Amino acid sequence: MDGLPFPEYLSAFREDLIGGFQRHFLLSVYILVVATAVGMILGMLVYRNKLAAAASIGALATWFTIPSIALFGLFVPILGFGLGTGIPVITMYGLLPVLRNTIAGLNSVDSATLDSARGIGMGRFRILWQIELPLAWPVILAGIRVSGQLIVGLVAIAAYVGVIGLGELLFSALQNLGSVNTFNQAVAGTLLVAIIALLLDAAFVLVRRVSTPKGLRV
Amino acid sequence: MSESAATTTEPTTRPSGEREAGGVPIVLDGVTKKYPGTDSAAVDDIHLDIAPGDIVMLVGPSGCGKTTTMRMINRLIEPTSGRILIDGEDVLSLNDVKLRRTIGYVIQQIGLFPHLTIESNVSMVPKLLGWDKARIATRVEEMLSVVGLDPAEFAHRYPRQLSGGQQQRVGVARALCADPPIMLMDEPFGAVDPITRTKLQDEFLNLQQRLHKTIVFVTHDFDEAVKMGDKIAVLDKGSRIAQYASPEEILTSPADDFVSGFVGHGATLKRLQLERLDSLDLHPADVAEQGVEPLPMRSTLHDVLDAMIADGLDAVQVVDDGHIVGTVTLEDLLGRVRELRAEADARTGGAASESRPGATPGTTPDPELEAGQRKDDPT
Repeated sequence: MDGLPFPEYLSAFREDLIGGFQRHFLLSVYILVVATAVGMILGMLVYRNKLAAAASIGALATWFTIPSIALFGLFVPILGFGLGTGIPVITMYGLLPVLRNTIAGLNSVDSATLDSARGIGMGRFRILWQIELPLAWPVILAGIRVSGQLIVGLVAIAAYVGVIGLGELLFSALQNLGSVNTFNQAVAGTLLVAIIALLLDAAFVLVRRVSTPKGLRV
Repeated sequence: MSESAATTTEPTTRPSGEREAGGVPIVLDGVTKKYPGTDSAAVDDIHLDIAPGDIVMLVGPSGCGKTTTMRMINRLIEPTSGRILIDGEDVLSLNDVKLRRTIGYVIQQIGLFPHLTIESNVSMVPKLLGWDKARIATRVEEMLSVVGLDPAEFAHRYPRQLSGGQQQRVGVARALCADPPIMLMDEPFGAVDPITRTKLQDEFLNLQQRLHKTIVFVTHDFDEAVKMGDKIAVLDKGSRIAQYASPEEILTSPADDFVSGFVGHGATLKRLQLERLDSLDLHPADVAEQGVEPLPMRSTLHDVLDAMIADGLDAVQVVDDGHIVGTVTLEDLLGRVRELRAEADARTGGAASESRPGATPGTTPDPELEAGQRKDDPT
């Protein structure tokens, strides 16, 4: 169980660690962007229709209950090893919080506000864009934030199907338990994943502050 | 109010140099709304002629279809059948979204956009209509002043920073901003406290004297209807019009038991709220006792009676412009009430007295005979 002391391990594997960190971070952000776009668009399409909203949430919630390892394993034979499986499977997980909060947010807009928007001559699309989306935005953003945390964790697990990020370190540590540097790998991988999650969270606090309409800030 | 309806906007100085558009007529012709799966229509074959520049009050018990009727005018609810003509044009043939930009809309819950400033709220319709920025800015400032809000103080605030009364002022400013000829108002002053409500009502009536919009105003409060309306449509279930007449006429000669039930107690007292001192010939000033606060000329007869009862007097002095101009006595008031009753009977040919509450069939005197007796009254 001997290996390098942790600081020396960090400097020795500096290149690998930074590379893993970058890939993990960027991949998480890409997937989050796609999940956000798809989730919000889907939400905007179904929120007025109770049945469609319930059906789409139900479908994604079912997906959500299946362990990610199982789904990765299921899709590798179809979509291949690596990002081909990793990106779509993780995106599907990331959709649920965004979709659910988009629907909830859009439906939470006060009916009197909507009635007066219609009453003064705003069309359906304009009401969605200028009234409903800005008012639902804090709720939608909360969903995106949850989705972001989820995705960072899932990208680590996706190392199992060959998605190269910080998960590699963690899996390697598990597989070679007791070997040289495995403890270092585990600690470094965990810390870096946590840092990515915290960075994303900090970014959300910033985005929330900048993008929440001033009239809604409490 | 009703006298002023026909006149055009007086030339007040307007910062924007624009003249307000006066009202246009609205005709509801056999308008019906039936929701699928219901037996009876929410609005059943309503016919209503609304004169330009009038405030028409739709009043009735909850569920009578008054709001549905109003919301069909700007097609927030699509009629099942019938025609709605605004200035002669059938609204069902127009684009509904564009139609609504030409009709002011004020609701009880106000419905300001909470994420937008007061300025953005008020300017929404002109923006939809594509006005240029400078014109919108001038107009918003003007409208905020019109509803009694200082633009410098309020333009950049958000709705939640305003009181309920102030918010509804913004609601009215938003509805008026693009200068629509028609306003639809659904219990607009129903959610504010009584003092603020009275104030908003008075201010709105003053405003309307200048604007002459055609206004359809929904309320369940008959006193509000009497105060605000040029005409009142008393509606029963299915928007059946029980009576469509001036407040004076409804108070003095309700068409049937439903209307008199809705008018409630004290119809004569309410009627006195509609009469002002200038409808009486005053006695010389020396009759009244000294030391009692004189009443201004614009007081209603209701105020006068109230003052007399409060002080236990049968005469009070009247001032106009700070000068005592005469005295009014209790006998003057009673005489005026008799006159009004006689006028109403003459107008309806005595028919009203037939259906007056308390009058039972068989004991009703011959209408003509009764009218004749009234004429002989020494009023």
